[in-house]
Amino acid sequence: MRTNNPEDKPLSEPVFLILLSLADRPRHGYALMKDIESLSNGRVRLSTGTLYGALRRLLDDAWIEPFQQEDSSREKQAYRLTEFGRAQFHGEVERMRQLTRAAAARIRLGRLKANEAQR
Amino acid sequence: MTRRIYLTLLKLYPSGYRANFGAEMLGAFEKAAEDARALGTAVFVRFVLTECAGLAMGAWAERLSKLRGRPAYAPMPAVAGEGSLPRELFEAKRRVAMLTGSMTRVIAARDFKRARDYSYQDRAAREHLRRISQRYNIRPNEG
Repeated sequence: MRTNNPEDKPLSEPVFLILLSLADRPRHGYALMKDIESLSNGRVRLSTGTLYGALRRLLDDAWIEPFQQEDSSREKQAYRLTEFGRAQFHGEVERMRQLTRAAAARIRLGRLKANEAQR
Repeated sequence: MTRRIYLTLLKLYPSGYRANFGAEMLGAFEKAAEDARALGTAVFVRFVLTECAGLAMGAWAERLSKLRGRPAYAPMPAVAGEGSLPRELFEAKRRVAMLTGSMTRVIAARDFKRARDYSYQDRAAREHLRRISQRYNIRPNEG
């Protein structure tokens, strides 16, 4: 059951894609933009305004944190998931998995009924 | 030219936000602009228009949240135990410290809706800290 906890709300697509991109390793802003474009097969291209707005909220909520890389410069600050952010991301993936399973079952049932109606 | 437009639009953001993210945003924009330019004029023009709209909306959202009492992003609060505590325990402590700070700031700004959001998160964060502390057999307020 969903509660009033704001952390139980489904994640927006940009936020989900940022967390997905950071799930395997830390990335800086430009690398995130490129990876998100590739993860979404070119469908989603985040502008820097949207990307950094989402990064700021994720930093504020401690879902991600700055990560010092050896070549870290002011223009290339990398970010990584915190343990808390990773747990939230896993929770969202599980929620989507349940929905996908339910959707697949409904689609199968719908096809069966349509086939029966045709006979 | 596009750099100048970008820098002008960045000025729409609150100064604290600009100080934290301005250089990074400009760096990411310039690299993405190179990619878009290589793909032709139409792609580049669309890219610049999307960037301008993204900046204008982002700046508006930041200004609005600042008006509602959300302070400029502050780096993670200093919490004792970095390096000596297990990472997940340290992170849980830092999250509680961060939420306490955020809650205090939004209450001072009389933004009670956001304070309620933070209080839900704070309760969950303290419960999370309690569980992790138990696992490591450490009291939650021990550094």
